[in-house]
Amino acid sequence: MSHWLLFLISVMLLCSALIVVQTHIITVIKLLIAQNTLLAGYLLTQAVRLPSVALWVSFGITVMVKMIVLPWLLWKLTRFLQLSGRIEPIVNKPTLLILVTILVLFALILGQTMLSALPHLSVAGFSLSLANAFVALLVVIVRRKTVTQIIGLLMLENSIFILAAALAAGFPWVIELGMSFDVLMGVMIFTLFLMRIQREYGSFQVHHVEKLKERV
Amino acid sequence: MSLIALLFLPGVVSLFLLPCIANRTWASILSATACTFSFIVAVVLAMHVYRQQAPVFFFHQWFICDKFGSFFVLINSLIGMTTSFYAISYLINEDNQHLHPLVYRFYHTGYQLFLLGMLLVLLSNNIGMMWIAIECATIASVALVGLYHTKAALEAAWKYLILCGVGIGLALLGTVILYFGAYTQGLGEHGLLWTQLVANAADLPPRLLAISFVFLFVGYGTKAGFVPLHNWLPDAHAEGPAPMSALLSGLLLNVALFAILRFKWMLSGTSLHSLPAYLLLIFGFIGLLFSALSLFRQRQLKRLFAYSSIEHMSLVSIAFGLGTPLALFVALLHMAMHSLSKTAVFFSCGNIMQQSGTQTLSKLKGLLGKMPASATLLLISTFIILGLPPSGLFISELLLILATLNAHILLAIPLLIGLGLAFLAILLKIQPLFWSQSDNNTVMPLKNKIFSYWPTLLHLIIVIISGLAVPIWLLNPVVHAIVGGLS
Amino acid sequence: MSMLSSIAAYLFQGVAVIAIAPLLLGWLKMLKSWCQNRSGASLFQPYFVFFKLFIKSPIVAQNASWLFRFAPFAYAACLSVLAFTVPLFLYRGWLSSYFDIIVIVGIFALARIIMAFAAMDVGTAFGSLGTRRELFVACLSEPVLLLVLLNLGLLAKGLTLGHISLMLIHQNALYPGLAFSLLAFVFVLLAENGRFPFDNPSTHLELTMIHEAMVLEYSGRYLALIEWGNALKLTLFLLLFVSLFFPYGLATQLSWAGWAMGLATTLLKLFVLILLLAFAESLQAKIRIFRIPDYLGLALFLALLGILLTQLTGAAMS
Repeated sequence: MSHWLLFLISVMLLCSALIVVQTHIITVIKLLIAQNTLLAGYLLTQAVRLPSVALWVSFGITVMVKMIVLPWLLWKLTRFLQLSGRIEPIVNKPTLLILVTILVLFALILGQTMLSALPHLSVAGFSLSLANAFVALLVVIVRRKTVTQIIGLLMLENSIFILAAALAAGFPWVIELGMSFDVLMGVMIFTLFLMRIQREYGSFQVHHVEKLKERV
Repeated sequence: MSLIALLFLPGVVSLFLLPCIANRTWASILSATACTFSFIVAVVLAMHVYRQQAPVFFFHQWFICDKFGSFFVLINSLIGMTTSFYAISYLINEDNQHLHPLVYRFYHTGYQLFLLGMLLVLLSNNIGMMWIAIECATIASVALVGLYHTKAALEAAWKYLILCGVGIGLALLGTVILYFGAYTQGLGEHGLLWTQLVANAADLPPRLLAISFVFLFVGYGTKAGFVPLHNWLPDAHAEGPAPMSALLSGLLLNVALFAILRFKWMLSGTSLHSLPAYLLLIFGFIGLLFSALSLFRQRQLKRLFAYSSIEHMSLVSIAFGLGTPLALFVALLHMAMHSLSKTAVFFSCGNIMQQSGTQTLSKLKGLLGKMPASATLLLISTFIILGLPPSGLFISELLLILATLNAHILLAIPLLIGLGLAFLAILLKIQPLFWSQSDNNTVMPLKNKIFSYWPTLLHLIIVIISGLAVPIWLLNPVVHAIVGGLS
Repeated sequence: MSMLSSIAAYLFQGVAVIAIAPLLLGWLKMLKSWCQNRSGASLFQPYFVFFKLFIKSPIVAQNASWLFRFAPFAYAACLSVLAFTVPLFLYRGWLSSYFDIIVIVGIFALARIIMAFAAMDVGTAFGSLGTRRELFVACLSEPVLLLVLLNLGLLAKGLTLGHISLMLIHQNALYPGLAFSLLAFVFVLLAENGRFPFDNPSTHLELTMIHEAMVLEYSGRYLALIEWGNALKLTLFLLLFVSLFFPYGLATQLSWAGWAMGLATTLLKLFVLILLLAFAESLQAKIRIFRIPDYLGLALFLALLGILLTQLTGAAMS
C-alpha cells in the first residue's frame, strides 16, 4: 500500500464523482475509459515491479477486457443507439453533489471505525475504495437512461477490483479471470437487451421499462 | 476419480456439445440424459458423504461437499432432471407461438449453464468462486427469462439484470472486505477458503465481520427475494418460460439462501452470532407480511405463485433465524418441500397456459371441464402448496409454529397472521379457475403430454409421502452437522 | 550570499513577473492561432499593443468621476503587489511571509471590486451588465479558491505560500485530496480569468461579455493598464498553480545555480500550462451563463471533497 496507490484511488474517485453529474453520455464513457486506464496503469506498474506470471496474466486480462473490449462495445452501442442525447439525472446537480459528499464522508467514517488495528494507509485506501463503490451505486439509482445503469455496475466492479488489488495483493488469477469473464458476459447480455429495447420501444427512458406493476 | 468432478462432468460436456446440435429433439434428449447422469452421481455422492464424518474435498480444497451441501445438491439435481424432462414436452408445444427455432439451442445451453452455476455454488469452498458461480447462474437465467420476444419479458429480464447486478455487486464488496480482513490476519490467499474462515473467524475484527456480512446479506438477499429488494422476482418468475420459472422459484432462491447461510455458519463462533439471526428474522417477517398482503392484488397466475415463493422463502428465513435444532430441521424440510411442490405448480401452470393461451386469472375459468388432466394436477399442486395435509408443507408449517412458540411466543402472532392471509389469498384466487362457467372454449391440445405429466406427479408423490412419513433420516445428519459446528 | 543580494533577487523576481505577463499572453494567442491553422501575430505583439495604447490620450465620459480615472491604477497596483508574493524562481515571493493566502484572495477581490465600481460609475447599460455578471461569477468562484488554498494550508500547517511550496518540495508525496483540489483550481482559473468555457476573451458581442463589458468605456493608457492587469492576473494564477501543486525545482537556497534551475523549470511549466490552456480553449465552446453555477458548484464540491479526503486520510501520510 503506497502513496502512489492511494493517490490513484483518489483520482478514480474523482472520475466517479464526475460521472455522477455528467449531462452527455459520451463524456461518461470517456471518464469510464479513463478509470479503466488508471486501473491498467496500476497493474502494469505492479507487474513490472514484481514480475510474476500471475500478475502479467492479470494485467493482460484487464487490458483486454476493460480497455479494449468494453469501451469498444459501449462505443458501438452508443453509435448504434444514436445517443447524442443528454442524460438528465432525476434530481438536480447540487443535490447529487451533496449526496456524493455525504457518501464519501460515510465511507471514510466507516473505514475509520472498522479498521483501527491496521496501518493508516491501508485504512485510507479501503475507505476510498468503499466511497467509490457507494458513488457507483448512486450512479445506478439516479439516472433515467438505461445505459448509465450498466455503467454504474461497471464502476462498482472497478472499485471492488481496486480494493482487492490494492489491499490484499489481488485475487488469485483464476478468480480474476472468472470475474472479468462474468462482467463481460453481463455487458454482452445487456447490450443485446438494449438493442431489443431500442427495437421495441424506440428509446431508452427507464420509465418505459417500468410498466409491469399491479393495478389496484 | 473424485465424485465431485464426476458430478460436474455431464454439465460441462453438454455445455460444449449443445450449441452444436441443431436437431431439437436430440438437444432435449441430450440435456435430459446429462441431468439424469448428474442425478445418479449426486445420489452416490450424498450417500458417500452421509456415511462418513468428514466432508469431501477436491482441487486444493476449492470444492467441499459436506452434509449441508450434499442435501442441497440432491434437491438440485433431482429437480434439474425432472425439469429437463418437462422441457421436452414444453418446448415442443411452444413452437407455434413465440419461439424462433434457433432459440432452442440457446435455451438448452443456457439451461445447462444455469444448472452448472448453481451446482458450483453449492459445492464451492472458495468464496470468490461462489460469487463467480452465482453471477454466472444469474446471467444465464437473465438470458433465459428474456427468451420470449414480448415487451413484458424484456422488461422483466431488464429489471432482473439491473437489480440482481446491483445485488451481486454488493455481495462482491462483502466478499472482498472479508477476504481483505482474512488476508491481513495472516491467512494469505487461504483467506478465500470458507473452511479456513470458519476456523479463524473469531480472530477477525468484529466490526469488519459485521460490515462484510451486512453487504453479503443485502447482496445475496436481493437474489433470495428479501423485501424490499424483491422487485425483480414477480416479473422474472412470471414472464419466463415455465421450466425457467420453476427453476428460479424452486432452486435459485434456495441457492441464494444457502450462500447466506454459509456466512451465517461462519459467524456462529464469534461474538456476532446473533447478528445474522436478527437480520434473517426481521427480513423474514417483513417478507411474510408483505407477500401475504400482496397476494390479494395479483391478477396473473404465475405472478401469484411468484409472490407465494417470496412468502415461503420468508418462512424459511424465519426458521433459520430462530436457530434452534427443531427450527433448523423445519427450515431444511420446508426448503425441500417447497422446491418440489413449487416446481410442480409451475409445471402445471405451464401446461394450462399453453393450452388456454393466457395467464390472466379472470380469463381462466372452468378448467376442470375443459382440460381435466392439467387442471387436476394444478388443483392437487395448489392444495399441496397451500399446506393442506397430507402435504409435507403442512408438517413443516406446523413444526415451524411449534418452534416459534418454543422460542418466543410473541413471534407466533405475525407468523400465524401471515400464514393465514397467504392461505386465504391463494385459495380465493385459485378457486374460480376450476369450477366456474366459461364462455370461451378454445383449448389447444398438448403433444407429448406424458413428459409434462410424470415430473409433476413424481414431485407431488414425493411431497405427499414426506408429509406422511417425514424423512428424518435424511435431515437429522445435516442438523447435527450444523449444530455440532456451532458448539 | 549576502542579505542585499537576496533582497535584490526578490525584487527582481517581482519585476520579472510583471514584465513577462504580456509575453505569456502573446504565447497563448500564438498557440491558439496555430490550433486554428493560421500563423498568428508575433510573440511580442501584446507589448506593442500596450505601448500603442500608452501613448494615446484617453477619452473620458463627461459624467465620469474621480473613481473612473483612479480605478485602472488601483487595479494594476493591487495585482503588481501580488506579483511580489508568487514564486518565479525562488520558492516564495518577497511579501509572501506577510501576505498569507487569505490576504491574497482578498487583494484579488479588492482589485475586482474597484473595477466593478468603476464600470458602474459612468452609468451605461453594459457597464452594469458586465459588473453584475462578473460579480455573479466571483460569488461562485471565490469560495472555491479559498477552499482550495485552505486545503493546502491545512496540509502544510501554515497559511503562507512559502510554507506550502516548501512542504511540497520536501515531502515529495502525493496526497489523496490534491487531485480534487487541482481540478477545482483549474475551474477557478478559467472562471476568474474569463477563459473558455466561462467567457470568450476575444468576443466583440457585448451581450455575451462578462469581463470585457466592464472595460468597454476605457481607452488610452487606462485601457493599457487594465489589459496589462488582466495579463498579470492570468500569470499570477498560473504561478499560483505552479507553487501550489508542482513546486518541484524552485530554488530553496540562495545560489545562482539554484536560481537558474528554478527559472528554467518555472518557464517550462508555464510553457506546458499555456499549451494545455490553448488546447482546452480551442476544443471547447462557451457555455450559457445560467450553466455557470453547474460548473462552479461542481468545483465547490470537488474542493470540499478535497479537504475531506485530506483531513480524514492525510493523517496517514505524516
